[in-house]
Amino acid sequence: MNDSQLSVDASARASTAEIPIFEARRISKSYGHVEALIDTNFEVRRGEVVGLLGDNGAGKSTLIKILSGVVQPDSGEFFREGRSVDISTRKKSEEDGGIQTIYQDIALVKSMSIMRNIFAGREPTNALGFMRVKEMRSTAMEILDEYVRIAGITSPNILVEELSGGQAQAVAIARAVHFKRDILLLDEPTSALSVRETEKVLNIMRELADAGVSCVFVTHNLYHAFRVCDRFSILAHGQNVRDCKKSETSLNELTDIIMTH
Amino acid sequence: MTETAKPDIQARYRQISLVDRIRTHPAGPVAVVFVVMLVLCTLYALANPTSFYFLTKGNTSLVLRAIPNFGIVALGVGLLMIAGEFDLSVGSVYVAAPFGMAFAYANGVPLAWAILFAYSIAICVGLVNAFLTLKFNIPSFIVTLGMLFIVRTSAPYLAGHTRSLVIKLPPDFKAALTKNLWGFMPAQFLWFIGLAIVAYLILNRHFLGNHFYAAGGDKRAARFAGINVAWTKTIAFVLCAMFATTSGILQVARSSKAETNPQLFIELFAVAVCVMGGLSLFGGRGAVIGIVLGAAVLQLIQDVIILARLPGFYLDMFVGIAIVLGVVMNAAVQKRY
Repeated sequence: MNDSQLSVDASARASTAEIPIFEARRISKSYGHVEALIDTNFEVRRGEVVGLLGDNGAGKSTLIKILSGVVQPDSGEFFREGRSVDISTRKKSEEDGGIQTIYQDIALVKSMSIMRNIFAGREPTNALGFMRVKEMRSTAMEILDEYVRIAGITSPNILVEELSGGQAQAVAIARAVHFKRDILLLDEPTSALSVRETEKVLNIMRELADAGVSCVFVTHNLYHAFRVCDRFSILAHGQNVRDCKKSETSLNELTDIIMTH
Repeated sequence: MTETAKPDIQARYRQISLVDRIRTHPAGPVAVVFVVMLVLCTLYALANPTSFYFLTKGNTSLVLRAIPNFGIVALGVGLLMIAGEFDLSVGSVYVAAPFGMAFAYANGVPLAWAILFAYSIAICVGLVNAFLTLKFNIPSFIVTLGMLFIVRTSAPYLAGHTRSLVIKLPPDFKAALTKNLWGFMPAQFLWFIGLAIVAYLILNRHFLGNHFYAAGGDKRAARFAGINVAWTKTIAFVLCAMFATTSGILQVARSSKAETNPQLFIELFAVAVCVMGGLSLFGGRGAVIGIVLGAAVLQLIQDVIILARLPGFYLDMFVGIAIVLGVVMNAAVQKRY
């Protein structure tokens, strides 16, 4: 694991804090007559957890799909550390945009082992395409050990369907982090989890952010968002209605903003 | 990324215990059935050496020669099943591709080229199956059912309505494929084991195997992980047809005769073997050892019926019962999740 990638030292963080690690500017998208996004801006800074909030129909899903390269906007620009980037496919979103999207249900193949899942689509192989199984196994264990630390995962050979929702979520996050993306985009990661598991996933997000991996936390649950986010970006009817730091707002105010729009 | 994990990490992640591995392994049930059948047959044969010839060299040789026939076809069908698709056309490829080889060889084409011709027929059928299934999003069950009929009639048509071809293969070639070693070990069986190892290496040691399991287990998740699902399945279709061709060539080498009359139901036998062996009909689950043991169990049943001198029509019935029981048992085991 590349340590420099994760633990950005304080001075570096301060100097890069001015340029967002990722920025989407004036994004618009219509489906027929429905304007899902209207000149929406969104930015992510290094080492922060951003809450992308809003009620149903606010445009959150459309924005997520655009950021992950699944949907193309009608207009708008994207910048990674100030440089214009193309994120029009999933591959480009991941490699050029540095964004790893974790969807709730389809992050992992349930009938496969944790190890097979971690390396699905990016198996370390020799020239003939045979996998370096030993390396995969030890890397899988390191990944589980380094980022997840969730009780109950005793072997990388366990099938994902045997894990709880929280454990599976954690594995998906660990995989994304290991493959060195700057930003994790988590779509409703806590909606299907128990209270205890939710707590764990929130803690993982916090730890990742502190280690320099930014997280975009998309959720309906304002309590969860308020517990873990550094900043909030609130959408309503496809437009930015508020963008503020945690210190500038309160849970009640966030609730009011979403309710009144 | 280091070659071996730090020892303290290694220690924290224990290996899954052997009992747990057998319990959770997809081939667990069929392995138990196989061992029980083998023990019972052996004990009964020891008790009745004059009437139940199970342990004779002749019987062993017979069983071991019969298993590879549908077993090798099942290996291919199994790989494809794990990747989430079916192939019924193997029944025809099994006949048509070796017929193509025999036809070419009988008309003066060197053997190596004739074999290559057989495999190119297989690859073409596999590609057509894959194209129709994936391009038009049709269930492979239906596509390959159609191909089963099409390929079956195309061989005799192209060969001028010949029904069977007797060919004289080089003795070395014939011996390498079908020689009976030490009186009880037909070379076909060794080829079968060799091909099973190849299938195992593909599934468990090659990145393709990882992609097969992912594409069959959850198409959308596989796509999200960056796997080209269509390409992966296409390779599986082609491999499947190639395995069927290999089995057909062994059969032709054994009898020195290529027929266009199909061996009935070999495609369904292959599916049955896979399902008995613990492969999921929905894809993404299963292991090669299950296919091997499934083939062995199916042949053991047939052998017992013959040795016990039961009327022939019981054979299909018992095979049918075994298949249904096998599926029920696997479903019961998988329900734990």
